[in-house]
Amino acid sequence: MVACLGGDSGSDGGTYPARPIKLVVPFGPGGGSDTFGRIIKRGIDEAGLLPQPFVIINRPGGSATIGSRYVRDAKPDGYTLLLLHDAIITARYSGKVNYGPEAFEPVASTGEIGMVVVVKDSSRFETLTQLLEECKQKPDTVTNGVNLGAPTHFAALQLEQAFSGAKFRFTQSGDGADRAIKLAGDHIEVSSFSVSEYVDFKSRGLRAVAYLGAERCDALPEVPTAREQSIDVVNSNRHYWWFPKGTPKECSEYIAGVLKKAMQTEHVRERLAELKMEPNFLQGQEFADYIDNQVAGAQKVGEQEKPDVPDISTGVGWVLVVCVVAMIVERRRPTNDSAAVAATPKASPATMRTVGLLMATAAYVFAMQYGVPFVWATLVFIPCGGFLLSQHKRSHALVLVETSLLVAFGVQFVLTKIVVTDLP
Amino acid sequence: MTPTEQAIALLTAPTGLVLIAIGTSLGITVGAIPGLTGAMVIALTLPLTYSMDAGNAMILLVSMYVGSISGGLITATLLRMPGTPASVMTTLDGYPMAKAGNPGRALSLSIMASFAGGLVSWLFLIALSEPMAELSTKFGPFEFFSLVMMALVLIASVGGKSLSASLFSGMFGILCAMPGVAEATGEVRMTLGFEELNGGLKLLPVLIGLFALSQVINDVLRIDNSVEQIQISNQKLFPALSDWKLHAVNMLRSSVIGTWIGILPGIGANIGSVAAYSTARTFSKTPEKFGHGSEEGIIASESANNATVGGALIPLVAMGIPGSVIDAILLGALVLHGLQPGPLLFKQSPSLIYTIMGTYFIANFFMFGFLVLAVRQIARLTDVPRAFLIPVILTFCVVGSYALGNRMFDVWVMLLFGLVGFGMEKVRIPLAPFVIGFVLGPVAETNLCAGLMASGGSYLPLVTRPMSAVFLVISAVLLAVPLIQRRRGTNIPTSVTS
Repeated sequence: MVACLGGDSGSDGGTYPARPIKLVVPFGPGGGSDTFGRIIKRGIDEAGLLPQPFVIINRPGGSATIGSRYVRDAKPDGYTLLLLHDAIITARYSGKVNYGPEAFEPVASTGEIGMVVVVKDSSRFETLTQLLEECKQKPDTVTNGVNLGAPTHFAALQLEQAFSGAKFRFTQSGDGADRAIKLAGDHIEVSSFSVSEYVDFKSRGLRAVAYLGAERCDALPEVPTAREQSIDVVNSNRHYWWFPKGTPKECSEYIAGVLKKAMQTEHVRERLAELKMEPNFLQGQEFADYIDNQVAGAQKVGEQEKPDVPDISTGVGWVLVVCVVAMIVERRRPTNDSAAVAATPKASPATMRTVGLLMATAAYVFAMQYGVPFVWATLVFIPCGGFLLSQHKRSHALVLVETSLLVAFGVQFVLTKIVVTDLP
Repeated sequence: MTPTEQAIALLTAPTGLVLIAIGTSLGITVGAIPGLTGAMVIALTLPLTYSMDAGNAMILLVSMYVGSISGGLITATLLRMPGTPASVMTTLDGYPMAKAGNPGRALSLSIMASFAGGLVSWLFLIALSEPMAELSTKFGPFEFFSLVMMALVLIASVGGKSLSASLFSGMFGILCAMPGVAEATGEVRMTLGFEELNGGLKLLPVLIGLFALSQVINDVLRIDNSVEQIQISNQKLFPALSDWKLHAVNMLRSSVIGTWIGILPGIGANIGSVAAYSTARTFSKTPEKFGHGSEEGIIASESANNATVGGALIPLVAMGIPGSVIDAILLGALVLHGLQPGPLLFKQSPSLIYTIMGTYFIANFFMFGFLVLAVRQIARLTDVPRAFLIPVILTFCVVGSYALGNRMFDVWVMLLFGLVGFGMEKVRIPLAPFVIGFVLGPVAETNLCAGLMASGGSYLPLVTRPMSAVFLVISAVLLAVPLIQRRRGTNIPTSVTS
């Protein structure tokens, strides 16, 4: 354990880590990143490399930008970690976010995995050349399922660049698991997968036409490389680990050390071999240089046009307006159940109490937002609220104070000791 | 170990059984207290399951679901107040029978029917889930879009009194799901300048606000109303064998109706019990007794509302489409625990699905046992002074909204939606379509956009792909029927809003 006393690292002081560490995986469960994160977690847990729990949280969506934003905006206290591959670089060039790797504190890079171009078993495309030839003859007809702005998208764009005139029809198709189902169900014709995803989903009737590595992959000796088919594209994917910008160096180094050890555990080695991943490990300057290199590569592929989809929000807005009009028209007609509505009289003592209670609640939340600890705020709030509702009965006072003690300390205990979260 | 063995091991472990016991009893208690609903307690429990593994979390939440639907029968019978919306129909016959001096018999019949409804729908759950998941792997983006549209129209046309109000609620739900990064394009939209909205409005604060806080406001407004409770003397509660035989056909019929209505996305327990109740009246030899303490009425209502729970779990585990408000929360729980509900769940975590199914089965026995043994004690709990309960619930609302994202922003969202929910109910706009729209809106949008990208911007596949066309035609019919009926001036017998 190390001391972790950064400027704005919170009040933990003492030893790091003092609380569970959350790993944010910005993809849905079952995909490549999620599987990888869970392997490392198990390696860490089994070897007891961290004195605190290591918790995985999936925050999928927006081509990984929802998860990456969450970590970027998290407290830089060394308790929120992001696992994100090259999408952290590519998201900016597809116009999704205005930040890139520089908005994070690099921790380490673990594992390397190749990409494959995949079609359905029964597809008419036997080779990559054949596929790209058709994309050239009939541009914008072959549907390619990608996660827009993510590495799968960039791999496909690289193919387009390498085979002049070829053009795919890109379709937003989500994470690896989603793309596999859509490919098997004939909803898309081509997609790119990491080798581990391909190995997982192959049994659903998929077939790889090219491996985007410099040489053939040991795990898939039957799949020719793109270069063998005279298409000069090399693309691989590494998993990067990030902290929010401003996280103390000591935390990054500590976690990098843990990851390095985790990579050497038996469980991780075995599983990586099963997933056909190389157990590469980079940290510090070496990692920073690698990232710079990737950024330069992504810049070359550059920005692409925005996908052309209808403006759904305006549509929903119009339907809402229509519903409101319909509702008004409907209610102008007398209905027999309208008598049931006017139930509560106005400005009765009950109404006043309700307003009072709501204001007390707002004050309670406000107090906690501006630094009043949860326990104190609750100790005041529950008796006050109860008093208000019981019309100031003295006999209730003792029970209310007891209740507030029980709830305040009980919730405090459950949430901070049992559940991995902190209170205001 | 096979997935089935894993599920059995998890369920028979002491932790699993204790969680089922806690979940069921808490669910029953909460269901029995008017003003506390199952949706509320499950939404508030969800943050506490954060540190459990997914299996145990689902065990607890599903047991609560079973308990809370059943608990409502106590207050429905003894107080003439439905403890949960699902037991509205039970008040019609349960209370008259209790008033006529037979509270024990009314409760005993309700408990028996609830148990039977649970078991029948469990059979459907295990039989239908996997084929349905397999079928839905054939669905492409257009099919999913049409399916979601059908779900929204279904809840609007069948679920509420007023089609326009329900549609408004659903659309408003969709609109509220829109701020943040758009799933299909990755653009940030409608954040009104709040950086915090980039990730969108979170399901949990919105739900806690809509269902817990707005309910609290209603409770406080009505805090002075007190109702006299019928006392249960030492009557026998364990249903006699003759009762099982006497009501077997009715129980089976009502359970099947409840299950199928539960499967339909968007509509839940209350509609199920209404449908079974009116069917039972149609088939009854003594329809004039309905509403005046009919045994058949109690049986129909209670077996159907419990059966909808099992039915509604089917589209949830098979397709990731929630069949009711509580299922929307369970869906959130699955996502929170890193599981993607949908056709792939059967492939990726079969043991979790078997755990859910197993929990549902065992929880029904626990529910039966608790009710038979402890109904008197639970009935006494229902008159805990609100002055103690409400501030505690408010604290849990605040903590529950805060705990998931560790930010105060979510608490304000919860407070805001509490007022929104209260306001909507005040002007008779049902809340359930809002939740379904909120959960399914993004699914519909993502799939529509993905479909349009694949088709090069053409909407034609929506009607040329057979499954999609079928769903759209059903939606159109569901929309058209109430309109035509109204024009003809006929009265529609759907009477209960959720």
